[in-house]
Amino acid sequence: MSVLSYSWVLPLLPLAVFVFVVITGRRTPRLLAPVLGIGSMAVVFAASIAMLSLTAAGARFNATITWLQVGGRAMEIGVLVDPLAAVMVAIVSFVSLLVQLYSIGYLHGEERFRWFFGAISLFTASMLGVVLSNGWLLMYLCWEIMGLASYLLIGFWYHKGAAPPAAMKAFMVTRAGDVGFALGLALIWLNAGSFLFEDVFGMVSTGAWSGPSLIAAALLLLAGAMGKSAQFPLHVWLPDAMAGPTPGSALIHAATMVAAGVYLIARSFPLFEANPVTLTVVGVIGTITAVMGALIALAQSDIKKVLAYSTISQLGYMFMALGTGNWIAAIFHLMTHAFFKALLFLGAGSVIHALHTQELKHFGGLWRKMPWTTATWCLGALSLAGIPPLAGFWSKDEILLSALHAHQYGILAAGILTAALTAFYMARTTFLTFFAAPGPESMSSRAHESPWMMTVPLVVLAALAVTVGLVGSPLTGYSFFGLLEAYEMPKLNLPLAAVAIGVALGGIALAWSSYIKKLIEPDGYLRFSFISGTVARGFLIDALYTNAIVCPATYIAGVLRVIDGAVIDGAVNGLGGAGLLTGKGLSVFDRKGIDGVVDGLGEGVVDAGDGVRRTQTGNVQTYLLLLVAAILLLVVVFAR
Amino acid sequence: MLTLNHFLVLAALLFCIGLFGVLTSRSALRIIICVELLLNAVNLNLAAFAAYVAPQEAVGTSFVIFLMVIAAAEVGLGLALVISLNRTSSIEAIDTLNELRG
Repeated sequence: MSVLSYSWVLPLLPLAVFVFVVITGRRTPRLLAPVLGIGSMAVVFAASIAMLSLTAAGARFNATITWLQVGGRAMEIGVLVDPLAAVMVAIVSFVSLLVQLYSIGYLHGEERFRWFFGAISLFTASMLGVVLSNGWLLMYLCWEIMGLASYLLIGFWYHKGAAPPAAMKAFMVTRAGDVGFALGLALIWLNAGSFLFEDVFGMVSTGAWSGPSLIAAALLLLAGAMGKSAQFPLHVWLPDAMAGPTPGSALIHAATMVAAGVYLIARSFPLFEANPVTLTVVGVIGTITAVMGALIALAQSDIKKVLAYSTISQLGYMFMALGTGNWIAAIFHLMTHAFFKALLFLGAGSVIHALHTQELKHFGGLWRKMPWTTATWCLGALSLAGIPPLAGFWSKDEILLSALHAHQYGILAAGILTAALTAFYMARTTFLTFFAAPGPESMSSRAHESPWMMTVPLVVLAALAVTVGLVGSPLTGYSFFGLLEAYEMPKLNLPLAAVAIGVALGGIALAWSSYIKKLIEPDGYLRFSFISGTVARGFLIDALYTNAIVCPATYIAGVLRVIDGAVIDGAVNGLGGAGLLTGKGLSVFDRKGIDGVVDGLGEGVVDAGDGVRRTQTGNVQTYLLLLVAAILLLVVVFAR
Repeated sequence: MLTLNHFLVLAALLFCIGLFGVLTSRSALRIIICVELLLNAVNLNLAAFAAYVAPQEAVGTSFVIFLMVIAAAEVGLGLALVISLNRTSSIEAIDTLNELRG
């Protein structure tokens, strides 16, 4: 036992902040919410450093408690601390810390300022819960809380038209994947009788559980991961989710929520490894997503949309790494991506904060006005483009390398293509925003540098975007891979690295000659209607969903309404008409014979009713009181 | 040592508190909260019987979970009613709502 046994406290700290913010609401001093949020993240981050050093020295912690006892079978939840969990806790808490610091500046005039920090704390708590759980059950619970928190963050500006539908879309689309996750849980429970990683992995490694049900369970877990990690065809929520505040996007779409899917597969890797077919599916989905995301990003005119599709593409990259069987490379890319993409989102936020617009055509020449934002953004963009020795180069190279080693040449080619496209669209965005001469619609003259609360996180993240890749480079002896217990250390493959650097530089040079030197018409490729129409609108996948799912559902509802009106109402009206006819016949007899008797009875009833009417006070509580009294009377009479 | 009776007494207390609240509150919101107390008192009884009388059966536990779902649905419906009531009259004085008086 060691200090690691207290690690279950970590998710509870931000959760407590959330509860505090919800309960106290407007009564708390305005700055207390961010101070508490940042304080809890600082504690968690310090703890994660301790966890990293302890787990690197070989310490592990795995404890289980019984959550539910149902029909003699125990459902267990617990905490697992190993290097993978420690790395994830460090990434999540650090990015969350910086994002909250940044948000103080970004949202300073916001009415629901405190609520934002509450929601971010809830989000971070759920993510910490996901990475620290030692079984799928607790992971799934936290996973769903994360869905709720992302809904709250995306819908933060609920009075703006785009935010509520975007929040709902994110919630519903990830839910489509989560149904798969839940079914996968059921399959695991049926076949292995436990939700704990160690039990299930033990059964898989000894062959006690194998066959089609194992493949099905892995594919169902993959569905959950695809929803959260915005993989094709469930990626459609992520671009819309840009309606939320930019710091929230930095946290959700860079470091945490979208990383959860990659983490789920990396954590469940023995289930995927057992059958090559599941790994192939992961790789194919990742490849499609990576190339598709990069292509769509080329044709975007909104700076946040570029970053959104770039994120989808990079997540596809991580899935490609998982598909080649190298989950450590995926986690490595997850880590570097978390830092440089958070940096890019926060940099975009800084520009948006200055100009209150997200359209690239409104920017241009910002480097004079916003030197810190420009410098840090450029480092992030170069890192994403894969220029050595920045972080993105090392992790991207690792993925290409593992594709080469696994003889997955399709993935290798797609990876190199994506790298070239990535370098081009990032250079295009950088030039159009910061360096190109301002266009006719530019508003750059109004720009100003952001306050220190926003630039400090940018500088810190930029420092990490430059350096963090070194832990996976030969310069430090691949210490990251050693920490996560890689069976074989990767070796830098110089020809491959040269190709990767070459295509990245080529992409940047092409963008430079087009957007700065104007040797090629800027955005000339947008003249092709296929690109500006189909690709820019995300290959029309959204339209496909609208036509294939939403419209049929509305149509079926309309048809049912007509059936209801014509058939059911017709039947009811017919019955009514028949009754009316019969009644007319009977009324003759009625008036002659029965009325006399009935009138007498009726008058009696009216008199009785007048008497009883007094009890009908119309007050629900009086009725209830009488009801209770009657029940008590019955109990007294019959219970003896 | 906790026995079944402890739980039953606690549940009875909860039920009585809830019943008192339902009968005496003037605020619709308080009434809804007290109805929750009633439901949870029943739930506690079910859970206690499940744990003490038939721990090997999943039946009692399943009832509890069903009741929770029903309680959630009830709150949803109740709150919707309260909100629409609030448009026409005050929810703070439920005893003034006597349009059904005979």
